[in-house]
Amino acid sequence: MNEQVHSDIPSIDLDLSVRIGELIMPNPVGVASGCFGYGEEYDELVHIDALGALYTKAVTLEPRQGNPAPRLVETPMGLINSIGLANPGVERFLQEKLPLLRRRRCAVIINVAGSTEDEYAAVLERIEGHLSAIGTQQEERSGVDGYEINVSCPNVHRGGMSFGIDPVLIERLTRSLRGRTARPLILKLSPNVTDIADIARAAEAGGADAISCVNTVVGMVIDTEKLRPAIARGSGGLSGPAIRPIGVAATYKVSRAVQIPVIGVGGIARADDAIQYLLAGAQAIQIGTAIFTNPRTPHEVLDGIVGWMRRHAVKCVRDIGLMLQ
Amino acid sequence: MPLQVDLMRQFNAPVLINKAIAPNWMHFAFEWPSDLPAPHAGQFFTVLPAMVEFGAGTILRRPLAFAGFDPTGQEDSASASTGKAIAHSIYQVRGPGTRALAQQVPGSLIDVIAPLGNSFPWPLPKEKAIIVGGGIGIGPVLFMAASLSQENLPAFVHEFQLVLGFRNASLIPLRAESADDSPMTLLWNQLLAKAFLATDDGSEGFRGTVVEALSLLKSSDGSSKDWHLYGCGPRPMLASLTTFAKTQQIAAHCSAEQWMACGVGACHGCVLPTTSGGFLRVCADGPVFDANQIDWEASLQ
Repeated sequence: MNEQVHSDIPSIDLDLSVRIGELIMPNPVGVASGCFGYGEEYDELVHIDALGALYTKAVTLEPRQGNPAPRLVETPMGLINSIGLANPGVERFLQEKLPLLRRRRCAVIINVAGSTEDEYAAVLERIEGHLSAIGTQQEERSGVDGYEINVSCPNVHRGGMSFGIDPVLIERLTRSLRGRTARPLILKLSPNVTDIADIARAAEAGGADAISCVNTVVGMVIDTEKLRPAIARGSGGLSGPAIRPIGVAATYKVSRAVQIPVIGVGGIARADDAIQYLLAGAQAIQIGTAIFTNPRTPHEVLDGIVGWMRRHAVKCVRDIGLMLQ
Repeated sequence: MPLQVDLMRQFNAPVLINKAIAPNWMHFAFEWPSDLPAPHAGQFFTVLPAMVEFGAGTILRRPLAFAGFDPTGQEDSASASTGKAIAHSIYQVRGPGTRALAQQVPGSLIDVIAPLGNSFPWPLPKEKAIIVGGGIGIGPVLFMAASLSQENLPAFVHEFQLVLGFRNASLIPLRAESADDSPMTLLWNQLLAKAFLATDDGSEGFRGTVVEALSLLKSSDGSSKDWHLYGCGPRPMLASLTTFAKTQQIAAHCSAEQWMACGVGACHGCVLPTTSGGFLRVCADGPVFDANQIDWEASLQ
């Protein structure tokens, strides 16, 4: 499964490519799960094919309506959400979303969530079965370049983060999923743990190809007039520039605890933020909430990384992590 | 390559008007790109105001409804047409984002994504449009009324009734001396002059809510046509408007508001509960809904 992905960026003197398992992404900039739908919503505003990777909104076995409204509240340099993994379920995903994803030229990583180990496994099996059944001609894209396993969603009662805080469960889940796909398997971890390095080592031991670091931080805003939490479910997941230092610290720690690549995510809004993650040890990065602020952010960040590499005479983006003093 | 027409676009727009028209209400206008399709009544746009307020640190764009569109582009009644279209909106200064927006001076550029969302459907020939606005929700309904007032349309659409509700007379916009004299402001004033006004305290017009006013108007309406309600305003108003429409068995479409992040349908943050048990996204499934689709009572919880 060596699917080389070609971006629309003209070949330049720099090597921006990133390797995750057997997958080569054309550049390190991806759009984070949950912030970009399945790609079509932003089609008219963002040239997605120039990016390194699109991480889809989570897919679960059955359709999910998501959590009660209101689901959002803005915080200082941040956003708390409690969407609750609203998605059409794997069957409709395959029928309605995958055909368009197959036409993407950036890497497409399917984010998978579940309430139980069996549910995660069933989603993967269903997608793998579908891909085998439809087959792919040479040069044709499958639309599934890898999986990002969401074991860190704070907004569901079962599954999600309850997996992500237990190294034993993480290793078992990862091993189970490893047996079901040869495609790259990325475990997306929660920062709401005592030691994220323990969780990352468990994912590596189970056979993960990479770690996405980090999902949202549990947070709450209280409306002092209505005398109740601002979002219906009480607490939710905090994202945005407010959590960037948390993500950078976690990336620094995890990238020193495991041999597999780390994908840095959390609060990236400018190229400098992304470069901090790369210096901390990330091989690639994802941009989420900042897309809501400005859909051009991923492209501006990519341009800024290129400019920084030129100024610092770095030829290969994968070497940036070695530069940290 | 087929000719591709943008349905939405992100652009830096010159701000033309940003002026108070009532306490904490602002008239906002910006230049519209000549090659972008004109917005329709009910649609909205998002803006990214400069972020300046200590401790607030806003990061989200602000969604604002269109309150009018002028394809000829006159900034004020004295000036000649610039030939450039102008989009208009009315917003309330409510928090750090809109406070920052209120600081944006004419002549500066603002980051806009537009047009977004769906629009009010038009009345059928057998229908009379009853256009109902409450508070800051009058923007989209003024746009709808202006759209139905256009001269080149079939005569039946001109027979509409505009009903506007405010807490009290002092909150009725555009009367302040500071209001600008753009053609859009003049058009809004003409529509206001023709509107049936209701105030909660009776300080002007009908004393009571717009829905109470509708009951009165319905009983005295001589038209043989079916009513078709178009509403925008606070959610309790939309809830009682929907109840009224159900009781009277008339069509109703409401434009809703919700906290919003992406504005394009990607994040599923801005949902409202539906009567069939699920959720709909205000930004991408709305903001205009068949009133019976939304569980307004649940949305008030």
